[in-house]
Amino acid sequence: MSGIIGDNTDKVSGVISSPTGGPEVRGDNPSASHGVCWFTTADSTLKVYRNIAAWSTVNNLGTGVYANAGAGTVTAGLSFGGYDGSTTAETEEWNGTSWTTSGVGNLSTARRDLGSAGIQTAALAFGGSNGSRYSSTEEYNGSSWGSGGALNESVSQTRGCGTLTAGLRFGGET
Amino acid sequence: MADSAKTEEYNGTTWSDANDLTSAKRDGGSAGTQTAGLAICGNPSGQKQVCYEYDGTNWSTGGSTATQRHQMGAWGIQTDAIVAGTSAYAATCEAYNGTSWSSVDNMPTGKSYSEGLGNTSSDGLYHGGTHTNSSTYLNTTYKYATSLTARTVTDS
Repeated sequence: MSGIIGDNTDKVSGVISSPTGGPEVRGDNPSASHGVCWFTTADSTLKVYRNIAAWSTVNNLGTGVYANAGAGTVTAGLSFGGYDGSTTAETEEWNGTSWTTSGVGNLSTARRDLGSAGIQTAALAFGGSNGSRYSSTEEYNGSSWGSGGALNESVSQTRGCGTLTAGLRFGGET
Repeated sequence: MADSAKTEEYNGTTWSDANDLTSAKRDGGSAGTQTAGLAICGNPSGQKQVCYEYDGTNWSTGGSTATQRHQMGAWGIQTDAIVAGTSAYAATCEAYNGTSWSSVDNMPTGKSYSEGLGNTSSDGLYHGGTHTNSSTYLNTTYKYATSLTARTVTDS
């Protein structure tokens, strides 16, 4: 038989309902794609391919840190600031496999509990603290940080989202 | 010290005041864009499960997380986000679909004060942080990713 079992792609247990698109039962070793269901003759089981998210451990940051900020994606990320025994300005770039500080400029102002937004080549760092709270913003261009516009309050533990040219920040401690 | 409800928008040059959060909060998580933002959990105690959605002008209340969280990481967009960890070093994580939160797989080891990044609930990175006590500075990085997996269909 062939067809698409579109009505049952989220099932991991229970009874498979009759699909409106018609059944699809493939033989052993089908091409993998989400929703494909097949009967395995070796162990007489019915199986389905599903897109499932899971955690894995990948390469470590160069330096252990907390209260840091980040920007970017899982293939092009950025970590900056935080606390590693002292408040730090260090910035690291993630290329999808590993972190590096090579060719990566540090923040002008060491800060922790800061806010962030943007992508690896156009990121924002703002607020935060190092004894006192900051209102300053820094902009990253993929290699170095430069000054941006100041927040309208000095704040730490604030959060941000969006992009360098369309950013949003909210909340925090003043 | 005081918690802030202030919201500001950045245009690449200057920050401008926008409408405040419904309630002040700090140390939570964030996701989304300037026109579709998400403020996730945080302190004070009454905010630990409360989320607000921003539409570019106003904040409104979104779905509540099952677990109380602050000092955690988050990423994604307003309709497809992940929140990971808690201040108590829990490994639990939840996914948001724009309406409600649901539990997803736990991270390998619980930690707090870590940073999350990523565009969707399907792919994210959770790096740095601390556990057990604040004198531990973690360099561990966890990746959350979707892959095609074969599952056996059972009737139980």
